[in-house]
Amino acid sequence: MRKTIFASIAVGTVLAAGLGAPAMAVDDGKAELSVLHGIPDLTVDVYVNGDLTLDDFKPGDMGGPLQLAPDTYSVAITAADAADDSAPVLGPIDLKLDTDMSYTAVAHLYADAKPTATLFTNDISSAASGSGRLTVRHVAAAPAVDVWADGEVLFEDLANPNEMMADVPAATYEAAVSLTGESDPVIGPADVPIKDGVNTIVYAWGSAADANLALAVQTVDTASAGAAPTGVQAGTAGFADTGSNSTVLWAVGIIAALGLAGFGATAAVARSRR
Amino acid sequence: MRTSKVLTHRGKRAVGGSTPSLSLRRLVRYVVGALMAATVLAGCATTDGSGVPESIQRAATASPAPAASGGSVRATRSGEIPSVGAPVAAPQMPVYTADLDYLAEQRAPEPVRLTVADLGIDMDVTDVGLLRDGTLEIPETAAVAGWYRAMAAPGADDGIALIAAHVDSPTGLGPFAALQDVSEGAEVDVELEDGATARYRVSAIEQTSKDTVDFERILDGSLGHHLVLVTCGGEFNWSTRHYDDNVIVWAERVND
Repeated sequence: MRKTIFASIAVGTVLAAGLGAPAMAVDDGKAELSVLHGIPDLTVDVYVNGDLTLDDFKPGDMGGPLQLAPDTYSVAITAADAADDSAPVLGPIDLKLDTDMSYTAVAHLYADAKPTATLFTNDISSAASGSGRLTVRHVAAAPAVDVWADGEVLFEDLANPNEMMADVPAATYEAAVSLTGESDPVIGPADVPIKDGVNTIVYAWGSAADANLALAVQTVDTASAGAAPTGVQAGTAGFADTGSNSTVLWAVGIIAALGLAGFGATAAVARSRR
Repeated sequence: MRTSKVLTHRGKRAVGGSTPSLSLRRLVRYVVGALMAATVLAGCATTDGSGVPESIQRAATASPAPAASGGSVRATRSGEIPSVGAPVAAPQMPVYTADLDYLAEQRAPEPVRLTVADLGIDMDVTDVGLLRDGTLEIPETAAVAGWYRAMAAPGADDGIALIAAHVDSPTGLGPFAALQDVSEGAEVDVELEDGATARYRVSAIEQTSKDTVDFERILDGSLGHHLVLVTCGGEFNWSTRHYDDNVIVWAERVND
């Protein structure tokens, strides 16, 4: 088992270097897994199929992404000083990972502060041209919340352990989280950049009672990440027209010719100066 | 981590080992480039219609297989991925603090200014994305160039950095109108927001009909990191208000 996981890590690392691989959200035939630690004040070890995979994993840390063979993986979370996974503080839980899918497993608190683990599926389907995706996940010991973007409520009444998502024009948004129906932020405001073709996943984690609510962030490429433009329309006025039969607008043609001559002269001067 | 280092090193050595083909590649490129320059002067015919000049395509074929497949295949063949079987206590899963600061640190410095001294081009660069129809957003004024932020930034190790500008605007020609006259070897400097300069040299010029131009191929990162400058050229279609052709300039990174 260790072999399987380790080989996957190696291959994943090479591919992550990304020389020339066409934009693909998940490696062909693989499943992508990240792991988020969202339980405050508890450093843990993470065992996958009995092997220690994350040593001294700290709250707010993200592990991965790993490109794994599609399979069901058994994950156990133990105290950081445990000798093995025989006495987990959480799990073992079975994570069923399917081909060409992206997942994030989150160790977190329920709304009532009981620790749990949730496997989220990350939406890596294409975002519309010019847009990115914002996903918000409530994994905090806190009541339902509203999520604000640039002063407006974007997601309403989001409860633990649910998620909401939307495709929005690529830009940086001022994001904040308030309790549902209220307007005072309990988290933020903070600037969250949404990039073209990228799913930016924001987690509200921690505990309201302990006043340690915080944001965790991860980005996952969608199928449209780094997409080539379908065309480049880079002219508007016809000044650079090389056509001989443009009988429309003689005046513009003459001006264009003058413009070209002017440019040629400038270029010639620039060249002779060298 | 240990594994990744081994593989990275291996990849580099593989590239270094292909020096003979590198120089051959360069020779081929010069010859083809010279022929192509003549073609461009003679009226800008294209090689295969996709808009990727033969010299660039050949360079890509001559270069080692892309690391994505090449790296792992090579490692497997020599049987050395088996650090897998090594007695390691814990496989290293990359771990990071998943906060907004980390996200900000991952961002490459963006280009702010583009200079082609030979052509008198010295213009501001802003970031652009795609329009709803999938075509590239271009800054409205021809005096400003647009860097496509969803691909590589100038100065990156991998991928293609794309910068485009209108050839003209209602007030006249823009700086990119001079692109079609650029010579191979001309120096292209891109100033980044952190004050650094990424330096390039023009390696190919192409003018291609928009009917056949294939940006998927032109911007295919497996050709190695290039800066690609794009504008319009050819005849202007007065009814669609678009030019018939794209002018495409490839520039290779110069290491100072």
